[in-house]
Amino acid sequence: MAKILVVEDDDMLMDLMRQTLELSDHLVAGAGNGVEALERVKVDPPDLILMDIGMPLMDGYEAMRRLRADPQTRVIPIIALTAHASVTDRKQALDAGADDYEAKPVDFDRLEAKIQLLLRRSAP
Amino acid sequence: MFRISIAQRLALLAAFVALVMTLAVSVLSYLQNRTVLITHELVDLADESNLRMHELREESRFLMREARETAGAIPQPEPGMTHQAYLRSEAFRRSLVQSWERIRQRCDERGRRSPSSWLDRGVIRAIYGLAVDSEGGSEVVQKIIEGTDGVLDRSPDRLLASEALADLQRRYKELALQRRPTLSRQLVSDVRPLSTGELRQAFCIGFEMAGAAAQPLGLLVIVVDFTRMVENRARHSARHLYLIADNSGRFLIHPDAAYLGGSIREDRDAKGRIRFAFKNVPWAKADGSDEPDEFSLLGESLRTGELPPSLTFWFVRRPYSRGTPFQNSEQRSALEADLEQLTLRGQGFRFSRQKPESREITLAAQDKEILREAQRIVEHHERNIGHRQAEDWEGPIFCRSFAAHLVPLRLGPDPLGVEESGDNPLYLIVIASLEEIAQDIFKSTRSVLWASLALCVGAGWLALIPAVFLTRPLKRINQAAQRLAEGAYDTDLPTKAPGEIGTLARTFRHMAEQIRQRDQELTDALARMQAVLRTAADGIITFNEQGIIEEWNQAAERIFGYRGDEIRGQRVQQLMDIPPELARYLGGSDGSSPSLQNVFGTPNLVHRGRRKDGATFWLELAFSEVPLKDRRLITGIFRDVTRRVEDEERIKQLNELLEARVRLRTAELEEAKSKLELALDAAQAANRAKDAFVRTISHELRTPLSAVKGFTELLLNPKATKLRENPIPTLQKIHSASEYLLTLINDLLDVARMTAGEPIQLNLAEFEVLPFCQAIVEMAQPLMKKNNNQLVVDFPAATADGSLLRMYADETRVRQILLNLLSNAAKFTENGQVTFQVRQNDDWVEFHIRDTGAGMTAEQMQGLFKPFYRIDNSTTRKQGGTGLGLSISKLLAERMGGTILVESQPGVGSEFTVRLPVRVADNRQALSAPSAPRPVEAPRNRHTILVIDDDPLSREMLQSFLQREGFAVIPAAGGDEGIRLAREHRPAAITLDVLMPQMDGWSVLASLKSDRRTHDIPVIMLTVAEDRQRGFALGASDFLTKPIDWNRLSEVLHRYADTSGHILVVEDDPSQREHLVQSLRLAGWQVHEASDGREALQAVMTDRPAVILLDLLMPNMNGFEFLEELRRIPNAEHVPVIVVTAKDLDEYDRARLRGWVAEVIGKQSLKEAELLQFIRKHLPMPLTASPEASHG
Repeated sequence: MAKILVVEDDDMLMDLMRQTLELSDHLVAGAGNGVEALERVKVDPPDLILMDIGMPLMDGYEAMRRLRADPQTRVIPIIALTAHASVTDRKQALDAGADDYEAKPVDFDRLEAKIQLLLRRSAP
Repeated sequence: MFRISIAQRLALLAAFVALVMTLAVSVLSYLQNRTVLITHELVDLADESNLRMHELREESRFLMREARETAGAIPQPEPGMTHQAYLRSEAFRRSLVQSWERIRQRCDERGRRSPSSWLDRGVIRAIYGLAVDSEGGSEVVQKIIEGTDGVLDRSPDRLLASEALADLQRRYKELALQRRPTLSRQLVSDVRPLSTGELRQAFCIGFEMAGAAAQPLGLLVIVVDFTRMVENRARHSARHLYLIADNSGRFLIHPDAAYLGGSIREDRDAKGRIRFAFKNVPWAKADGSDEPDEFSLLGESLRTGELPPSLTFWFVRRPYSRGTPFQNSEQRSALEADLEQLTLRGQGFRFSRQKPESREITLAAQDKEILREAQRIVEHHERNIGHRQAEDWEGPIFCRSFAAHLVPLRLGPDPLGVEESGDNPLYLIVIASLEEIAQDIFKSTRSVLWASLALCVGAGWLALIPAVFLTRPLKRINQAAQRLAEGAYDTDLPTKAPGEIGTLARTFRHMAEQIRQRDQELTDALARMQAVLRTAADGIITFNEQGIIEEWNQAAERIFGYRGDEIRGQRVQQLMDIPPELARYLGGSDGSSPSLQNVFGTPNLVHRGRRKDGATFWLELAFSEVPLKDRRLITGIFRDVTRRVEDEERIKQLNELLEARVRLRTAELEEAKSKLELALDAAQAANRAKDAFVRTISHELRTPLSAVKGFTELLLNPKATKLRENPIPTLQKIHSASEYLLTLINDLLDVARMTAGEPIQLNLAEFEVLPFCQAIVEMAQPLMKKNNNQLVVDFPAATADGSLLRMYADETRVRQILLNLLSNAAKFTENGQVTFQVRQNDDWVEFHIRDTGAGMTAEQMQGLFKPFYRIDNSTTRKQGGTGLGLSISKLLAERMGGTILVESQPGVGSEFTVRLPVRVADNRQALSAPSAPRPVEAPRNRHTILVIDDDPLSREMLQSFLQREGFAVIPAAGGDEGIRLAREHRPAAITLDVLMPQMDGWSVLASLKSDRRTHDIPVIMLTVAEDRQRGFALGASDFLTKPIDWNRLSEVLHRYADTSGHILVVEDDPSQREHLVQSLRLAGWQVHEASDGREALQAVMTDRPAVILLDLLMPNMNGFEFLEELRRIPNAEHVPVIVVTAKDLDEYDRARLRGWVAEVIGKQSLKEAELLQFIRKHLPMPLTASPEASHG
């Protein structure tokens, strides 16, 4: 039951995410790339961000770093969604600021669990 | 003065001192003697004269006594008789005569007793007895004594002038009347010269009665003859002169008769001085006054003086050392008698009477002649008596200086005048000649002089002895000093001598030792220095401030060619061009020349020197100053450094060459390094690319897969009620995603296959292009409609020759390409126009697809053909674009031998051109896949190499190496042989050694290149030195340096079975292009240029270059595209391409370049030499107008 910002450039996947998350009664906002994501966060800070990595304009890593740099947005939990699940990728994602990551294709059950966990943690 | 030794000097000194002393002594003694003698003589004179007077006085006293006695005998008068009567009495008369008689007897007795008495000698001429009458008158009663000289004058009147007598009588009378109580009355008559030469005077002795009152009874008149007195004396002594003067100074007796009457007082010398006078003599003045005058000034005894000339006389003396020879009186008498004769001649001749004890005879005369005569008489008599005389006459001495003694003569009982009688006295002057006295003195003095002389000599000799003894050690020292000066150090020194000499000798020895040591040191130093000078390789020259050369060693002779004697005295300027500093110094006339250290900043100067023969050479100079005591010398060290200079030059050149070589090597190394890096990079890039590709694939696959899975899960999720109610859209999404997935997989498989190098099977068939294209158009229409685009077609009606356009290719694949492009065009254009144009270009068919879409930037175009490159991600995917289309299209096109070109302008549109050969070739190798660079070498194991090298060892090494590499080798030992063999066998390549004796490599090269038969054979120069430019200018294909890099050689040779060509420079920047072109042309290459990829491809197709220099970043067609296209050009795949780029290549770039590009060099680091180096590696040296260079 949270406000989740999904950052994903592929429309189809975006659609999928939205539908699945809404099924879990989350409020889903979308952004097509990093830049848009930052704007959205500023305007309407979400409770959690699901960040795709490979995106045009600004990729997920950079967006996450920016978010972490900004004190206002630092605390927002981020789960990175990536097609690549090698150790290097994982490390890179976590270094960039992700709290967790999930490989594509996404296991939504697990994703939901992670979301809940992060929300519980970040809730005051 | 210097020649007289000390000894001699001492001797001389002694002698001199002795001489002086003896002279002094003798002079003193002479003077003393003289004084003594003169005094003695004067005393003698005084004695003599006093004696005479004494004698006279004695006579008169005698007479007085007699008179008294006699008078006592006279009887007294009778008493009562008057005196007068008495006097007249007979008795008295008788007694008086008796008295006279008695006196006479007594005189005779006296005379007999002493013959030398005056009576005897006649000095008393007469004695008269006079009776006195009562009146006082007298009468001569009796002549008592008569003169004894024989000249008797009986008449008393004659003896005494009557006046004199009368006067006497008168005066007696007066006296008597005065009744003086003196018994004796002195009555002296005037001195009367009775005759010439005679001087008489008479004096009376009164006869008186004894008693109280003296009564004169009679008179004794005594007549004295002074002349006789003087004569007598003169006769006995020749030494003295007797003169008598009266009290007025008038000469009464004078040897010179002419002078008689002359006066002492008138005797003056030439200057008017009185020459002869006596002191305290009351000379009566002429005028009668008694005042003393100057005449009285001289002493009573005149010590010295000159008498008037007339008193001079000559004096001789004959000494009889053994006593007079005239021993007996007869001899004497005889002699005297003869000599007496001479006295009668006057002239004052006198002689000394000989007595038995006489030891000499003296003669004196005023006339020399008389003297000589007298001498002759004496000698005659001597001979007569048989006397042999040893001593000669002394003299004649001219006597004119005298000592004199004056004695007043008073007649009477007291002739010495004790009683003042007032009578005028006479003066007896006794004179002795000083010269004669001096003669005596001189005799003794002479002996003294001889003695002194002897003494001198003796003293001298005597002094010489100790002097010699004294100076002998000094002489030894002197000799030792001389020997020392000559260099002999043996010291014969009197070091044991006592005193100062010994000390001196010891000191001297010490000094000699020191000198010896120092000499030795000096000699050693000199020898060393001489040795240095002699053996020095450098010329050592000493010259003075004016530059005049003073010293010149052997090395200098060698260097300059002048002998020492030739050059000494010449100026140093002759030897070289004097550097201005030294010239200033040498010429320095201001006197304040600075020291050389100040003048020359650097110690060494290199300058041009001049030899004797005029030749110049390089000279290194170093100067230093030698300040001597009175002048300054400059020593210069000269070294002929010509060779060194040349060597330095050569070394410099070699250094440069070395540096160039080093740079080359470095470049090569770097090249190798970069190649390795490239390879590494490529490998890494390949890996990375592979990784990336896999990642991308994975990503791409997962995306639709996620969609499929996700949406399916949604549908299965019971919660998704809304979705489940209307599952169709979701199912459609799933379907679409899976379709996409399929396409993707297919495409991927295609790409994979193609990338793997699997030769894609081409279904080649001929087909007509136009219908084919039309079918495509129809297929593409729906795509166009989607975005409301209009498709315009432009197909040519026919080919140039009227036939229909046909292609021989894989239709399906061509279609695939064209559809891909068209669909892209449609996708990216909205409400625009897409033009599909077909053209034929010789062997090529071009399909142009233009759109009016958004266009692409250069950057976008870069990645266009990359797999999964999407301009706009979402768009593509939505439309089912996998992002692989263009990649596949391009690959396919290339596979078929063509290419796809892109041109685009943002906002305007894009144009894709598919260029395919009309006839697609078959069985191509995997051109479509970037592969490793094909080795240029073809197996040439049988190719022949001609080895030209004069060194057998090198030749053998080369030969064996090449044979190992698979070449056949023809060896040649020299240029001629090599050329001949080259013509015969036409080898694939020639290795040529540059340094060969007979015909050097360059000539061989030139010869080979100018011969039509051999000029196309590549020549590889082998040389130690690097002379590439020359080599290339002549036509060497490549250049290797000895020691040979065998790998390099192999590589080069393998490479150079090929031919040569030109370079194509592909560069868009005009200035850079120009730079490259010029540089390459300068290096001798033929260069073509192109400003972009398209132009370059044209150029390649028209005229295939041997090497391409390629810039990657260019507009229209960038480097990569060009490369891709290039590989499609037939015959161009082997052309080595050197990429020159500023762009930093990424992995994929490198991967793409790998295999296509021979070298990659960055523009920044581009150096001509490196570039040339790279080029040369791949390109044989371009020949001029090689026939093979032109083909497409």
